[in-house]
Amino acid sequence: MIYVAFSRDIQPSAPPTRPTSSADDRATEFKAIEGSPTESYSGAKLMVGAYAAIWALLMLWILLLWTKQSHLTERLDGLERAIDRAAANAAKKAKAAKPAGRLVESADPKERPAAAPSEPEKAG
Amino acid sequence: MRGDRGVREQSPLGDCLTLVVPFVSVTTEPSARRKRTGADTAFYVLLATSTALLLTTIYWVFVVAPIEARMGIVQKIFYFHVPAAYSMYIGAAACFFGSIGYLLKPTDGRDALARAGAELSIVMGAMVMVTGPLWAAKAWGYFWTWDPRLTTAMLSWLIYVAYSVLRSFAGDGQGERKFAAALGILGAANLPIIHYSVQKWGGQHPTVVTGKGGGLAHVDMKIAFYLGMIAFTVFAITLLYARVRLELARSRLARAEDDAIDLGLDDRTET
Repeated sequence: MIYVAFSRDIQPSAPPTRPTSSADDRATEFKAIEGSPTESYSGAKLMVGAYAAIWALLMLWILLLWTKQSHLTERLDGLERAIDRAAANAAKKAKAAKPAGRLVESADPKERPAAAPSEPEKAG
Repeated sequence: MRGDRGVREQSPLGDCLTLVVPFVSVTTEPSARRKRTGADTAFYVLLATSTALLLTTIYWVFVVAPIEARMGIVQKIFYFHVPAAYSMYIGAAACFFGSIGYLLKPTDGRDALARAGAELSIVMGAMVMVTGPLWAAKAWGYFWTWDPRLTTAMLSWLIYVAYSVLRSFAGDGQGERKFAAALGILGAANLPIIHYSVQKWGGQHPTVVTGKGGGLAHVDMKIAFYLGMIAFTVFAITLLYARVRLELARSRLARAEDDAIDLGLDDRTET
């Protein structure tokens, strides 16, 4: 019985059919479309692309602003260094001028130390 | 050299001299002395508002607003494409008024406004030029066509690119600034042509907002669109504000460098 059941289900496979059509029957003609070509694109992909482009452009601009800001900071640092150098030079000059200033101050008659008495004074 | 760029807004030399003349206070750091101003507070308020508005818009566009019947999900590009175009107009208007103002009375602030406006137009215009073709690929079947609105929009964008290239490579003298101002005015003159090109010359670009028979059918679509417009307006003003302040800082620094060289404080050569 089992054998019969299987024998009913299993049919001998048909031999592969060979293509009977000739080369002329398979002749295909390529035609140009009328008007503009219309292709179908995935709307979801296009939308994701659009939003990715928006954020990419914004990030690019922020990066550009950051670069400009960094350039400004570099210039500001340079200016501060130049001011520091100028300040240091001015301080050096002031220090070098200080001893001369003391000499001038000592020439003041009020603060001049008592001088040794002159010869006529000694005689008097 | 000094006085070559027009009238200064504030005296950067004042800050320098307070640092240099009394040598005792040379070590005082400007950043430490600077306190938060009303301009800073205004910027933070603008930034917070635009962030909140943009997030709300994104939520409304992607979660609340329904999908359009004919075009499908790609129609959602519209909610950012049109506000970006509107923001491009804001940048162009800033460039126009800054340029006109600079030609009438040259100041650093007016020049900064013109330059910042041109840059904003480039960024927003680039968004329009990228998102538009992506929408068109689905709606029309191709990315680009020489439609009047598309062509005039690209022309305007190229004018602002030319403006920015000129400012970057042609120096920062008063002559260059005036020439750039003329270009900024020319760029703005193209804006009405972009706007009315659809009505006058036809083409394929749709008129959804102002056209007869168009419009957004669903109330959530309308809310998404108007939210986008408000968010992009505030965002554009925030970006414009930040860029103007950066440009003003650059001008002040350039003047301070010139002054330092003139006073013999800076032994570097002028650039």
